[in-house]
Amino acid sequence: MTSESSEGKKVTLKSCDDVEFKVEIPVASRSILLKNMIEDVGETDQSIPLPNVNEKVLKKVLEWCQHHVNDPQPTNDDDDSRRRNTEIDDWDQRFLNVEQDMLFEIILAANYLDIKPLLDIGCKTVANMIKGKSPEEIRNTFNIVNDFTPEEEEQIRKENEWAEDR
Amino acid sequence: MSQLPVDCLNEIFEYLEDDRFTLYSCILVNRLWCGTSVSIFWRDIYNYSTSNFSTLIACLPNESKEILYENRIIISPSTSKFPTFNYAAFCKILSINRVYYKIRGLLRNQQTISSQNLNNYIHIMVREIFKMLMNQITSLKSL
Repeated sequence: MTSESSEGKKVTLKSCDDVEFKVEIPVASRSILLKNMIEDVGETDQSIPLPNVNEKVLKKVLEWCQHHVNDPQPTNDDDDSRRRNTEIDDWDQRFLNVEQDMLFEIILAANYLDIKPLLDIGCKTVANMIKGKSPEEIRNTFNIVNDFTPEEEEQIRKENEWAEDR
Repeated sequence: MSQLPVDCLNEIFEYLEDDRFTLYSCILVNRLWCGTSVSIFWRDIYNYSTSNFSTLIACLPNESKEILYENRIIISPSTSKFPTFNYAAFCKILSINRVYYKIRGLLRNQQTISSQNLNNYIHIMVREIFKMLMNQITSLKSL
């Protein structure tokens, strides 16, 4: 489907909390899941239900899709080169400057909707939050409970010890 | 906090591939994080410390350990327990020279090994490690 033929045409997306969004097809097609669905189903008045995404998150994700509507579709590069090429531009940095819960919801939605570039910058943002932190600092940052027994933790610590003795 | 599923965690940890300090932290966060980050931590044999090689030796199957024992090559393991993971299976980037180099370093520090026997011992140890790696690794990215 070329962008010309789908220009102006819209598709209706329905969030899990039953809010409908009318979206231009090129915008919705940033999601490979939706792109494939739209191509398979053809023109339809029926809304596409998205049982894993709520209104707040869908609105946010569509804002990203709208801003990036003219980006080239990601190629099928292998994962390594895709990651190397991920620079987070200013707009995306501001876009992802949200509460942690929202950031995680965006990552989950990008994963579900198959929007690789959004998933990449979301994951990279979280990786930057983890970078340089101790296990305890990571647990505090993300509210994670340590479910190791002390013995397990000690054993794993020893087995993975990476710093060379000086 | 809504927890991220394993495939998203995996995507995140891939960005930390070359950051040993942070990956080691991730391994110690909790069981979910550990199970996801540990395979990335052990992917590239060039990144293994000497103590990581001791862990690999602890992963050797019993018949290999018996061969080492018969040759009186005794390496004190980092812990007395059986290893938490089958670490050998995580290796995707392998270097024969690197294994030789690290095993030489490890054995040279053993008080019980005389310098006359050192090369022979290194040879036996490296052979057993490679046997295990060849059995465990399903796909290599680079050799």
